[in-house]
Amino acid sequence: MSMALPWTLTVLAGVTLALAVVALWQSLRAAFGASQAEAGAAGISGDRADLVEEKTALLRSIRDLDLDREADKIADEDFERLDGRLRSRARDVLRLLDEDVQAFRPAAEALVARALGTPAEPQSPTAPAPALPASLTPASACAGCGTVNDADASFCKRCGARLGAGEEEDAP
Amino acid sequence: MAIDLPFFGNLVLCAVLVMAGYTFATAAAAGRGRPHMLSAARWGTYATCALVAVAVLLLAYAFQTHDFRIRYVARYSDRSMSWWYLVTSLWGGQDGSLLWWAFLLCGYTAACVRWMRGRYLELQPWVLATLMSILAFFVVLMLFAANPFATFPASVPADGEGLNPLLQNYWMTIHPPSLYMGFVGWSIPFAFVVAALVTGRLHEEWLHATRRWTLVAWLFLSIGLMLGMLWSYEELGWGGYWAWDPVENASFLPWLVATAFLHSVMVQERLRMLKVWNVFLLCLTFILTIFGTFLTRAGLISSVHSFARSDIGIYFVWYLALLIGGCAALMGWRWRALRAENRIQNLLSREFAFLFNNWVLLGMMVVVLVATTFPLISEWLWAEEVTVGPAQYNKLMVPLAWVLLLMTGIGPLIAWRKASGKNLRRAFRVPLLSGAAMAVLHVGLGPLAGFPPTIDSSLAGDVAALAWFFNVAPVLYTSASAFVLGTISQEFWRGVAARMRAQGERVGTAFVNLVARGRRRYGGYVVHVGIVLMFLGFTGAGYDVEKEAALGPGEVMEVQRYRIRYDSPRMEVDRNKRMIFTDMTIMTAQGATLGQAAPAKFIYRTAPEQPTTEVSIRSRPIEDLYVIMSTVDSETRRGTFQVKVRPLVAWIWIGGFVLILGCLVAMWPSARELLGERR
Repeated sequence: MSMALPWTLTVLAGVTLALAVVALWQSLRAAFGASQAEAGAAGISGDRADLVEEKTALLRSIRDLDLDREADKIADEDFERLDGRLRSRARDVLRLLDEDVQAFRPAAEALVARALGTPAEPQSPTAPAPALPASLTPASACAGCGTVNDADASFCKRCGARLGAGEEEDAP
Repeated sequence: MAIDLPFFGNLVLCAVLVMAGYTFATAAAAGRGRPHMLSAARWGTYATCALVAVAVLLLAYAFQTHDFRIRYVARYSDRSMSWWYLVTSLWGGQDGSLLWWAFLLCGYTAACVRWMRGRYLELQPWVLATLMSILAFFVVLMLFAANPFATFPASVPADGEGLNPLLQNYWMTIHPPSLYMGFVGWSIPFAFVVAALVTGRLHEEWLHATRRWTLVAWLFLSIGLMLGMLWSYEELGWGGYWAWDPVENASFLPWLVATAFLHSVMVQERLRMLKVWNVFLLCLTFILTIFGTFLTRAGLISSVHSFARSDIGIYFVWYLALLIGGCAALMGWRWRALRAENRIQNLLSREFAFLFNNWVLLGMMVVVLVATTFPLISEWLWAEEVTVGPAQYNKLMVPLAWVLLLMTGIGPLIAWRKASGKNLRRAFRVPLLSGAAMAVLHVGLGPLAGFPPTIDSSLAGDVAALAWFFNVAPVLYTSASAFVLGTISQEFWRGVAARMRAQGERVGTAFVNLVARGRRRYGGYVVHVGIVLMFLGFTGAGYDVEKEAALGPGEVMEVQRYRIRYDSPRMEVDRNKRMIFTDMTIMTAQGATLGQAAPAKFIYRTAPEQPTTEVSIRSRPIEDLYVIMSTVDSETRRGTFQVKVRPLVAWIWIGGFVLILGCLVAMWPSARELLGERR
């Protein structure tokens, strides 16, 4: 019989074994030798990854719920309660994601300044925080519970009531 | 030979065990507040998986080079087998299939580790630790009870015993891997749920993480079940596709629970209810896959699949006990966190429909589980082994399946939380009308086409209601099917119409966008269509006709609308078997030729006492003509034949294909998911 297949298998086994050894080496290095700094950075980005994950999940849930309403699969009042809850959580998550980045902002600006060659102007650690984008500035207060909501909010983040009876954002 | 392959194989298996232990330890350390160990655990997992792959490659090498020093190789292969069957021998017997199990688990594990990089950092250590513990169990099993590299103590045979002829079939080459992919695939979601329980992160995170993994596992499990049915239908030669054989049941049990899980997950995602229930279902699914492997491999209950009996049973019993105890303890520990935030407030609500569907599926599971293990139970209780036959299964399963079919149609029509009367009237009108129309059609036209709405069922038992049910089962099933199809069409149509109104799209565009936007939902509906088509195929079994005859060459037998003429026997020989065909001509009642058939017996060199029956199947959408040659006399050339007309069987396979398609739609990642995951 042809020996091509057994040879292929031998070579494959050899390569796989080598890969196993490499992976083991990497593992041992990570466990006993690697710098702890990398791990620290991983921890921070891990929280962020969780938030991004949650954001994706929330957006998907909001869209699914929307589909349900379009298909007449949920009563309006139930829809509004569930949707309000999802949206308020999504808003929190988005804000947290934003704040997460804010912490790095001065450092990033310093890096940019250095790269561009311009002397970094605000060296003081207590530089004024950059203004929030307009969409995040709080504006409308809920008529029901008085909670201050974002300017573009359709529903109150606390009680879920519809905000600003006048604005018809989703007119067909 | 320069290297001692069996010894090397054993060495690799030991190395796998050590590596799995090391990875488990690093993962646990990472989980207990030393995050830098996570990277070590990840690399350790890769190393472990690579070692398992080495073991598989070594065994494959041993098969290709006919290394009969290894008992497993000698037992499941011989020198006459083609290279392809030598590859499939890897999973042909018990010891090898355990290694194959471990290998597939490693494939899933490596893919999952790669996929998880940079996220689920809290869950990851415990996911890895769980997966490693599962792997360790299988390696222990191989090292101590069913070693694929075990050698003969004394002399080495000159040739092997060969693979069981029944397994030398193309379906068989893909059925076990697919089924195992389905079984093993549940390890990943199970690992996630254990991680969620250990870390206490019991909100929707683990559900989102396991979404696609559960669909992949479910898909493979379904494909595996279907391939098993095809194999049974084409190769076993008894004319059926499902016999409630313990091993078929072993794969059906996790499928039922997994299906329940896929549905109840939606309730938790939407309303944050049924948390305990979902954790329970997922744990149960995994436990049943292990139980299934146990049934398949330990030969606990005799079955056509029990190709090997051995002493691995006790290991499985302990492991199952450990799993059940562990899951129960974890759930008890997190009981407070698992308690629902909401309760079902209304019986006329989507969530209750889902829960009801879950009960029916679990009810079916319990029936199958009890009936499958009944020989054991009865032996234990009354010291007498009582086996449950297919008729007993059908008595309970046929009505339950009908309820399930109905729920497939009802569930999607009911609104979440609370359905109003107006909403219900609007939703149910079209499906009910289509169901009623089908019933009328069936009663009116069915008898003309040979499908009367009622049958004299042999299943009709002593209970009057049940007897009535079985007699009218055909029309009940067809009208329920039409009802479900009405529901699904309406769902699609309403979605399309809404998009056409709101976005001004044309029908085609609206349809594509609708499905793209709600892939899981509409993919799920396509799966439902597949299920309906399969039920249509099962309903056909009520109209089966069967006839047996002994014929000499040139003689003709009549079955329903067919005339079948036996022409002559014919023998062919190839390197590992003799094949005796009997050529036949299929004709219409008027005598016009429809085609040829050549049912056969294959007599394998390695197993002459066990000839295989090769049936001849003429498959058409309306019915299959299934011809079996029971015997043929070499002197008189007379043969005895069994001919079955099996209506609508083809729809089972078509339905299966649609089901796969729907599943693919549901799990297809969006472009954003593909790109977005590379952060």
